[in-house]
Amino acid sequence: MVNKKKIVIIIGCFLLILWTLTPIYWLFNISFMYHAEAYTSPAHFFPEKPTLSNYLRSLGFSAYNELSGQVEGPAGYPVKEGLINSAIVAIAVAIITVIIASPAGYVMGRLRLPHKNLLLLLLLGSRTLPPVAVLIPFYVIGLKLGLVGNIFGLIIMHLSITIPLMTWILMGFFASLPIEVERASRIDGCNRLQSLLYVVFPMALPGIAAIGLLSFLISYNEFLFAWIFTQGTPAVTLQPVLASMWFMIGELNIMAAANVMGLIVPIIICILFQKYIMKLRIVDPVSIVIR
Amino acid sequence: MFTKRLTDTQFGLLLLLPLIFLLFFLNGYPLVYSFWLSLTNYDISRGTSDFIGFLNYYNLFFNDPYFLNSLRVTLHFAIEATIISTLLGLGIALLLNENFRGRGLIRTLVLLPWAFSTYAVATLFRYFLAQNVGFLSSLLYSLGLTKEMINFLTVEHAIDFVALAFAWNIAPLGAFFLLANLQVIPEDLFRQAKIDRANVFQRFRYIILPFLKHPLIVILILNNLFSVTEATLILILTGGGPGVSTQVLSYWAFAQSFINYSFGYGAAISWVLVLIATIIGLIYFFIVTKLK
Repeated sequence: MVNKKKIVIIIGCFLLILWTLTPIYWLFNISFMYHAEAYTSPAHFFPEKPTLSNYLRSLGFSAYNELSGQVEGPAGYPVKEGLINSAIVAIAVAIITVIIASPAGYVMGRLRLPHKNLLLLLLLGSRTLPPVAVLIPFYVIGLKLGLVGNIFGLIIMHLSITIPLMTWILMGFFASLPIEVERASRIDGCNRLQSLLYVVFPMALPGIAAIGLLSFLISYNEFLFAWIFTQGTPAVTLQPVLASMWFMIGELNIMAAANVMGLIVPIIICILFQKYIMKLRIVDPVSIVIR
Repeated sequence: MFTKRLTDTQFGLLLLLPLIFLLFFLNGYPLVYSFWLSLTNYDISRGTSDFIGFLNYYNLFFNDPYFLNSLRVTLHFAIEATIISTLLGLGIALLLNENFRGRGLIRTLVLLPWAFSTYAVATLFRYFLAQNVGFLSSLLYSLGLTKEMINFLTVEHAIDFVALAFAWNIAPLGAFFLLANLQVIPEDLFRQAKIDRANVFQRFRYIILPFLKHPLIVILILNNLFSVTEATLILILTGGGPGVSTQVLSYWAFAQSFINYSFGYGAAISWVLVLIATIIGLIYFFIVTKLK
């Protein structure tokens, strides 16, 4: 009986690992191949002559091709620029989200307000809006205001996703913090603002750090707004740079390498977040949604 | 400080001001504007922007054969994607709830697809499912199971594979939520079940399921909501094709606006989508608040 259970668990884990890792492995596999091998059909399951040249070339360097004996030039996609723009946008989004959503989450989680349910409904409503339905009017408005093709437009768009969501998450987090400490600080002579800044926020620091990290990831991952607002302009972020390769029918091996580099940030954040995610009391699954 | 003179409510509203401002200008106003757009023939390529009343909606419902197609594809995709991702999430949660060595590592691995962008997921599956250099077709061919390299993204089956890619991406979300709910089940119940010699299915039916019923409904609705509004996955993985076989409503609204430049018509389609999503969202809201 015990052994039977063990076997089921082992088989389950094996299938789970295969299911999760094969699509990722396949991209890595092709990213280490030279052009000729990447187009072989049926494909090789391991690169014959593993190479880093695709990575170098997509970052704008030249690389020596061992097979043909020639030096190949840069691939000519703005991957590096995309990474820099993405970093600027995502950091700005994370900081502004933390600044606006922390007090708002505190109020929603702790204080009594008239029409609070209506506000809750609006918060969740903004989450359930189809991205396309917001994108279409935003684009027309953005065109008129000159927000298309610069990172400020994109930052505003991303804030429209992160702030309502993060307020919703922090609301639950603040509600779960002990209220006694805050009361004590008020009795000891703090005013409301002081007790918020010096007592409540420091207690909530893990939660605030988590929403900063999540906001960063959401902004970094967001595709639709980034594509429409920055594609083909100097403000282009990483996801549109990568996607435009599909539309320009780029080399499979170069694209694979560029896309692998795009996965590094989410992988690091995932590992950082994994220890945390079981400790966040997931009362509502929306709290770990990142799309 | 001046905050001393404020009541709790006033202080609260002061801190909420940026949020309310934001909800109004970044969600409310664009939605109203989009409704206005849907009543015009705003078209950048033709340079028109006249008020035409409900003509877009009339054409959509009565004159456009693609509308019914899109509804059908959306329904197919949403049902399939919801069922696969929910069941998969449940399976992963049940597995990870067991005690075994290396569980922490497997948890991190399983969480990976959650952290990837929809764009990245679409790209991964485009490589994975490609006809000539794809993993699946190469594997089947190399093992001698097929005589030729298979094209998976056909008119009949492309939408099923998009649903699979969706499930790959979204299942960890459900899995971790269900896992959090599994871990509050008292250990005693399982001990009692052991004494009563309950088998695996009885244990699932009488101990686990009662605890998971509400979380399962919550995650089902959430998966459903995200599958109905999904556009990026379709755009990158299939581009709505082959033909119009994967043209879900959200992708169709996108394509009408940003490929055909008829923003008026695209806005009208997106409003149909907003109504569907709002209904699902309201159901979600009432269930989540009722559970609390």
